[in-house]
Amino acid sequence: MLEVWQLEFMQNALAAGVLVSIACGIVGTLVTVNRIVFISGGIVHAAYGGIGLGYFFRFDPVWGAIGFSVVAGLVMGAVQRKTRQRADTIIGVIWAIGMAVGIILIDLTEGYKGDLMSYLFGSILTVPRRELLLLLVLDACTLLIVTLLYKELLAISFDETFATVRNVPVDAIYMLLMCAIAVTVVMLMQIVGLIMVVALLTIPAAIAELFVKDIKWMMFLASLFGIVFNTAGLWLSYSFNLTSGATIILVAGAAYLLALAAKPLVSNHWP
Amino acid sequence: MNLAAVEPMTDSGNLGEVLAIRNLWAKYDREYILQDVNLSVQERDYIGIVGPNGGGKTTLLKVLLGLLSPSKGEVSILGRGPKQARQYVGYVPQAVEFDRAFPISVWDVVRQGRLGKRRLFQPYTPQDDEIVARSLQSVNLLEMRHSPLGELSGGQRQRVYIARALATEPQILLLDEPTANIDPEMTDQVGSILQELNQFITIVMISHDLGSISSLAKNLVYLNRRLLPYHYASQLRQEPTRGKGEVLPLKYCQFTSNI
Repeated sequence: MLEVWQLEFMQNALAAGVLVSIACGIVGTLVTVNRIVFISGGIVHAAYGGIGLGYFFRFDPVWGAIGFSVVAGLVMGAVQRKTRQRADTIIGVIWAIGMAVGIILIDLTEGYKGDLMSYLFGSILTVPRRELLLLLVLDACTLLIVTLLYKELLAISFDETFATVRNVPVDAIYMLLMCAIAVTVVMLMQIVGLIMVVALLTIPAAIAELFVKDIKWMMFLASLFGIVFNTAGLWLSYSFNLTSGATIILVAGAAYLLALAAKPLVSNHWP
Repeated sequence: MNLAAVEPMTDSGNLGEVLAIRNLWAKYDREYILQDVNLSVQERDYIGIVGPNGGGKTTLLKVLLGLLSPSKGEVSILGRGPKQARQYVGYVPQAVEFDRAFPISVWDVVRQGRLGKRRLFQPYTPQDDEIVARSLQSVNLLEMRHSPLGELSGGQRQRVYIARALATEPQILLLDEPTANIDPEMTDQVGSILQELNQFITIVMISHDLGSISSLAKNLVYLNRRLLPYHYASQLRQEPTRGKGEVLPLKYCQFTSNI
């Protein structure tokens, strides 16, 4: 079993899984407690427009995806906050337009588009070293933002009106959260693919929420679960020659069902 | 109840005007929800604003909290505009059902009362924690500080929100339907806490439930788009056991003459 991890691409994949799980646990917790899973889904699907842009204009599609998803996140965040009605409809429309733009731009792009599927279904086994550095920077930024703005993030997540009355810049912090979600989901997209990002963003946090009653512990536990699911899924996918992204999601999904079943047996929360 | 815990939060001595509303008009979309509202609240007064749903109670509260700008008129809290006065105002929201799964402890909720005292990026200080502990003690919930909020009863949660408002070291408390959705025993507990706090803090409370508010407030006003003195309050109350419930004297509350 251990010799699997001596292969360089598996080491990279393991490192990518660990690094992305940290950002995912932190941001996923905020997504879960703020009940904005739908927006996260919208952001990652809109990111496909950026991938198309990257293909069409011949630059790294990841940067296109980041740019597109940040803009989509800011627009969706503003819609969610300012539109009293039909926010979900507008978010759904942006979600669909983003994907449609991506598909059309890729249609118009000439030449080989071999790695396109990796954005849809993930490619953790081909993550290059330079991308690990990018993931490390993402983790550092996420940790820094959450550490510095923890009291404000907790306040707006729990009671936005009260936070406003206490003069917290709620709009600015909410938009910062949208940007953090946008960057995290694009990074996550490369691991498990666009289609399954939302699952890996929310399942570890949803399991943690069952057992802890403190956001800091929830972030820690969600990150830990993410690392376990990524590692176990990676090993299983290698051992049984399965698609890695889908295997990781199935491991996470099975763990969620087990956690739901185990919850009634655990009477007290921890810590 | 430890009154010493809240006593230093406001200056004692001179009684003066804490809240002044003059010719206030406010609207949502194109409809005026508040029409020519006038009110003057003195220090350590305990005003109950009663009225039907849709009568503008929540709109008035939003204006007082600086969440909604008035179309016309003037609002002054301790001589300042609503946004500038926020640091002197404690806000207690409605006791509605909330997400019980939200992972937060009683302590972390009450700590949020200190938000306005700390800048961005600045962590809470030991002094903040001392005030949070005193606020929790004021509502007899210090022992439950580590409990998850979701495990508390409706009445206990409402006391947590009162403690959070007290942690802001307010000179005026604004309460939105504080006894809605909680059982009668807890309503009495919340009422007792508020009456004791009123020895040091001015209270403005809104409710659609005349029964609960009339036994708590010293003075009642009726808001249904326009503000009126509650002439019939004392007749409607059957047994005003605790509250004084007088109709608001005109020296405290000036109304438009054409209503």
